[in-house]
Amino acid sequence: MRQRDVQGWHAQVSVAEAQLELAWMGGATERRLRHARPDFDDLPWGSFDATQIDPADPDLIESRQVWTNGVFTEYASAAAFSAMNIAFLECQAPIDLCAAAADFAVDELVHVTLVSRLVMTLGGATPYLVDLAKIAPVRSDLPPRLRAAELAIKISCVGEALSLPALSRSHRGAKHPLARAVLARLRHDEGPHASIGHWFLTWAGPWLTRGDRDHLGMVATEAIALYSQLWRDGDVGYRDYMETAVEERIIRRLARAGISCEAR
Amino acid sequence: MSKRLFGVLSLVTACATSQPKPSAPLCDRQGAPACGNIGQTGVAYDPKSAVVIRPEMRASTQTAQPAIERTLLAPQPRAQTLLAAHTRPPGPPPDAIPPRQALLAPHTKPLLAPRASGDAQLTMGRPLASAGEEPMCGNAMSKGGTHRCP
Repeated sequence: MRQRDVQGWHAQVSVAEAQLELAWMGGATERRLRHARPDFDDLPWGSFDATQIDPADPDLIESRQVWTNGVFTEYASAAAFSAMNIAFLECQAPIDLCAAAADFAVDELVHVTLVSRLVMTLGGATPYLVDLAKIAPVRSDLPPRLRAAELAIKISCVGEALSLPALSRSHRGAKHPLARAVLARLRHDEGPHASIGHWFLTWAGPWLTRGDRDHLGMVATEAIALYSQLWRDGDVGYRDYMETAVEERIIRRLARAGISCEAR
Repeated sequence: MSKRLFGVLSLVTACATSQPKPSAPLCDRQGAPACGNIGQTGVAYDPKSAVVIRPEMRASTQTAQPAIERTLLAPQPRAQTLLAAHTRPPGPPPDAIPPRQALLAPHTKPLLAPRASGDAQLTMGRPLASAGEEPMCGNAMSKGGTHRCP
């Protein structure tokens, strides 16, 4: 554990990308999290011994790379739901809806913890640069309710809606019990995470104008296009699977909310 | 009935008038509200201060609430919120900012860390992000993307 210059630590300002690394405090904060999420890490951690595998094994390296990225996406999701919670508060959304957004941020931090432990079990994080000062969604100048709707679309209706089929596919393909256990835990939480955006749209719907819905449709279309890079040029079977998920889980569901979007 | 029944202490007896005066949130210099339930009753509302009524506030008082919404807090005539510009305080000069280091203060332990050696030949990973450098969250089980996407 490296010692830090105290003055430098307090004046820490992220001005550039750095290797993704995370810390754990333990003690009272850990007890609090365990109280809120009992047995969250009760998984077969001892079932995998990375020392029995050649560190240069391509499959091991690729697993570390995918899961290292997974740590970041879960971390970004925690920031995203935190931003969503603030946006909901700013537009006076129902209190129980605000509470759900805040609680989902805790879900994502549990995911960060589990995936981090999995990465360390596999042998450690791979080289991965991030600028965590930019982790939160960019704050737009839109009115509060429309700004909250934008976040609901990007984070939940698109982002989390794609997580569920991606994690399900990985879970079906995973052979090791530890990986399957982590994926099952992640997958368990994604259903409500993909629904909160639609819960918000149900509440906010009566206030959304035609122009608002057109704007939100464009936001959804752009978000779909960004994610589609992850499967567009890859395995044909996976591409078809995810394109079907986009159609069924995103486009059709948003259409029922009066928001039209497309996969380009 | 004593308001002490509801745990309300008489902090300022001079405010005990028959007509409660409108109040505004206690805020810091940047306009951020002082949160925490420590008995603050706000500050006296000053009509001469700059006030911005956001358009959606005006509209929402004119349109009917959707039937699905149940009132949690009984609506009162909406007090106008003092809206101050949120400005970031000036930071230290660039040459005084230390290079970013891992968050390993003495009272923490690593949760995620790279291997000590052996990964030099690996491709550097980065998050999938929008053109505005907004990270795309949601676990799509990939290795990430380029830092700046078209």
